[in-house]
Amino acid sequence: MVTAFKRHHDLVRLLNLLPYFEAHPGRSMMEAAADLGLTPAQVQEDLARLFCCGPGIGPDELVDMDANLRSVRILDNQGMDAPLRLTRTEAAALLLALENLENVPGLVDRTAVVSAANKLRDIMGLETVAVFDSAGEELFPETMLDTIRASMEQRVQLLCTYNSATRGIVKDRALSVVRLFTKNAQGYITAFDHDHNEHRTFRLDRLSEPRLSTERATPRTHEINFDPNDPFGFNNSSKQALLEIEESSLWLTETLPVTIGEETADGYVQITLPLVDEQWLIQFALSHADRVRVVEPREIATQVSLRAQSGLSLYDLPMNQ
Amino acid sequence: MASELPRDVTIERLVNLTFAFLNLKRVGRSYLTLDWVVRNIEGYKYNAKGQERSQRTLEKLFERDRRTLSFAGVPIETVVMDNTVGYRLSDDDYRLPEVSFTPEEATVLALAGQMGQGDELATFTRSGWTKIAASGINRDVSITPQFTTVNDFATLSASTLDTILQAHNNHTRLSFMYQPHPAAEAVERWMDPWGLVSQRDRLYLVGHDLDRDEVRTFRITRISEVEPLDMDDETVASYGPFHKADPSVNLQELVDAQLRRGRLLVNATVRAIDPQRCAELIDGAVESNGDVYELVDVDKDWLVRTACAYAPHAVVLGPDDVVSAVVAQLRLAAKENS
Repeated sequence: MVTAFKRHHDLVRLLNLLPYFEAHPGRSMMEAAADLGLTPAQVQEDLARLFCCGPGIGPDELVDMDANLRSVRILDNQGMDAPLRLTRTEAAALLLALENLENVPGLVDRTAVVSAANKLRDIMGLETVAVFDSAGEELFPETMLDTIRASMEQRVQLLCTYNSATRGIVKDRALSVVRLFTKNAQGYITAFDHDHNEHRTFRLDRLSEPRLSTERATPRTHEINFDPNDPFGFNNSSKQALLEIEESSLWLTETLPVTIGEETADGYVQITLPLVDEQWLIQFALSHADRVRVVEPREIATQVSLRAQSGLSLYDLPMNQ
Repeated sequence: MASELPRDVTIERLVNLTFAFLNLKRVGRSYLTLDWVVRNIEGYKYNAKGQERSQRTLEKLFERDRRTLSFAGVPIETVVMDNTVGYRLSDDDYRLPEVSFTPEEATVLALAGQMGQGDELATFTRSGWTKIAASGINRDVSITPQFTTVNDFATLSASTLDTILQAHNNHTRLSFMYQPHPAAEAVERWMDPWGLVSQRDRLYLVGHDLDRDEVRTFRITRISEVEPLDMDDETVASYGPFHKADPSVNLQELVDAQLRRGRLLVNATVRAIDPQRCAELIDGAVESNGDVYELVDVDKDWLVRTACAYAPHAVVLGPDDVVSAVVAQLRLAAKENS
């Protein structure tokens, strides 16, 4: 089924491709695809479609072009020579995306983010003022992002020290970075870990001393299917955990793929969630013990209890308590 | 050229219609009529089964195409001339205004256009970038880093965004359903919207809450069914004229203030028994003596919870109220999970 959104994108692509090649004469289909975030096959298909279009069906009324993979030249654009104006929704969506980018200095040039947003706001006038121009903040150290970006751009491996806090292991790593993403103001990279020979996700606040290697980066990009809505692969997990959460604290699970179940007699709600990281769940239960308890798996509940007891043993407590 | 291109009748009809409007002047016409469109543009007269469409169906089809085009940024206006209804391109609104972006700005716009946040908004960032790219800016196409955000933007639908933008501009009251947490019953709230604020990877709707008669901020993930209210309706009007934001007010500071409400900042001393295994707790703290760290101005609730999360690798040494809170929390953890 063709959704309204796909149709919108198809239409905008087709109506702007002739102006695009007019403005970039001789550009190859590959370059255009990279610039527009499309596959070369899509650009080729779009041009072929435009080749059969025009204001009429006479020979003088059709688009004409000299198009091959290496170079595209528009011979007759049939009047379609200007890019379309931005709609309110497009401009606002871009401004919101720029607001996000403002928080990742080092990955991009923050001055350019701010000036690009200002120019967009200028041409849109009052239409997009509802998108507040927030002051950006540094979610991650600029120097770290700078090194990560450089490793991606130069296609060399990233060397760093990684502290796997949940396991307490600190190790040097050699990574081929595939992608950088943020989730809830936390930064992560997905990278091929050359010591473990597989793709893993790393939290930026646990990564230190990033530096560039001279080894070429060799991410097995084709092996991973990144789902932006499920970056941690929750959906691929076969194990489940059953928790009970106090009802008014259910917002804690807002960003987790939970299924809400029955309510218990004492005002807790049962939830199930995919179990991808046992250490994470133990820490979550310890930290929210006033409003969360683990029901299943039993062995995790036991570990939470044991960790709490050994933590308590470190405090100087009167014997009778 | 590819010879076996799958036909897409709708898209070709829409593109050809745009060409026809763009060429009005060239053919010496000032407007097009529906009749002309049906006679000259393939895809109108007959339906997919090859049957001739009725006049009523044609009118509806043309209206739908007009809306689709307008949504893409091709505004078609209605004119009445010589007792005939005609249509033409609203020329001033068709072209992207003259704007020049530097190569550095082009790079960030390309990234903004392609970072794919949410399924719906991604369509619009992408199409927005396509238009800007078509204006002729040049950038180094080899450097678009792979970057994605997984945050509140994913839950914001294009139509909700548009409703909020429009209500803000036209000073229209909004109604929406607010759900403080996933199991709570959603309640209807009315608001005079002031804006959307992005703060620490989260997105908030800020405005004047009519029932509370106060400024309120709502995280976008917790609201749904955002709809404009009829300002002429008696109940809607009873709240008085639209409450405008004071132009000097900084919406981001309002969000900050609401988030900070109920927070208590403390200074604390923590012993890190295994600093590697409680790195989050002592991040930013000052090492005072061996394994002892001083934490300054930290949220008390965060401190208690984080100290518990990393037990037994860290111990809070003081102040006493934090120590008691950690001990109480650990006792609960021991009891509730056994």
